[in-house]
Amino acid sequence: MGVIAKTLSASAAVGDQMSEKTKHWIVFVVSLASSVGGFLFFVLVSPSPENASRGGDLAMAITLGFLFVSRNYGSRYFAALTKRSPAILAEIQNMRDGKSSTDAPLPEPTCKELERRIKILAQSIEIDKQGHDTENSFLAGATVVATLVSGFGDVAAKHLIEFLK
Amino acid sequence: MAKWTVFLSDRLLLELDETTRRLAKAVEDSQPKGRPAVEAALRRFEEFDTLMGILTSLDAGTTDPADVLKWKAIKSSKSRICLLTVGGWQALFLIDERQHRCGGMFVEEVSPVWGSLRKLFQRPLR
Repeated sequence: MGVIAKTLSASAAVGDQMSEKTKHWIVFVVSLASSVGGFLFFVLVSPSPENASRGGDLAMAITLGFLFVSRNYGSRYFAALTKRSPAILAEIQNMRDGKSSTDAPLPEPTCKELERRIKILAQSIEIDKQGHDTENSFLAGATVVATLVSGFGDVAAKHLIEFLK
Repeated sequence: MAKWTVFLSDRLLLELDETTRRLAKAVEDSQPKGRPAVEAALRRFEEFDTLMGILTSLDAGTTDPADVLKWKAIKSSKSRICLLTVGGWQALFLIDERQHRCGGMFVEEVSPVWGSLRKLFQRPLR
């Protein structure tokens, strides 16, 4: 049991190393495969035009996966630079001085520090914008194909089956 | 069984300080390079942050070293080095079994994938 848990944990660690872009591509390809694969299956393997749009319906559901793939890197970027790194440095200083770790608030920021934080905030907004743009591109591409197959798959399949006969 | 005590060497504390500053700088410098660069820099920083959290609690005595440290050697009773691995970061501890003391020596960056696989075979410090 312990080995299984450890193996799962190791696999999860490997999965965590996958980049956001790779995950976007995986959802996109699965969605596309569902649309096109479902359509071709009901044209070439088991000809039935009324079922040819089912792959598109499934692909629409798969595109929802994009919502779970995207990460909030903007806010994490802001937190890392304005909260976590000063907190870690303070903890190290406490350990050096032999003091016990306390949750005492960090000193009030200076004007220069506030200026730096505003710059980081602007950068974090830009990072989130880039993420939304990428997500929208993938979502648009996958949804267009899925909608076309879902809406017109049966008609197209009917003509294609007749053409192939 | 006697409780393990932990101390972190000056060298380790200096390395932790330098690494924190270096990683924060890397995160800040990653923004103009685009989101994938930010993602990679944040991953390294956050894994290091988790390692720091464990080191802090070990130093404060709130975490038992026997729960988190693992012997470096897979099969050797002579090994006196234990590892604390979090993602791509690894802290090395010198173990004094007689006095039940773990001395944090230094921290290094390792392959997170191999680290996870290696964990499957490592014995915990008990």
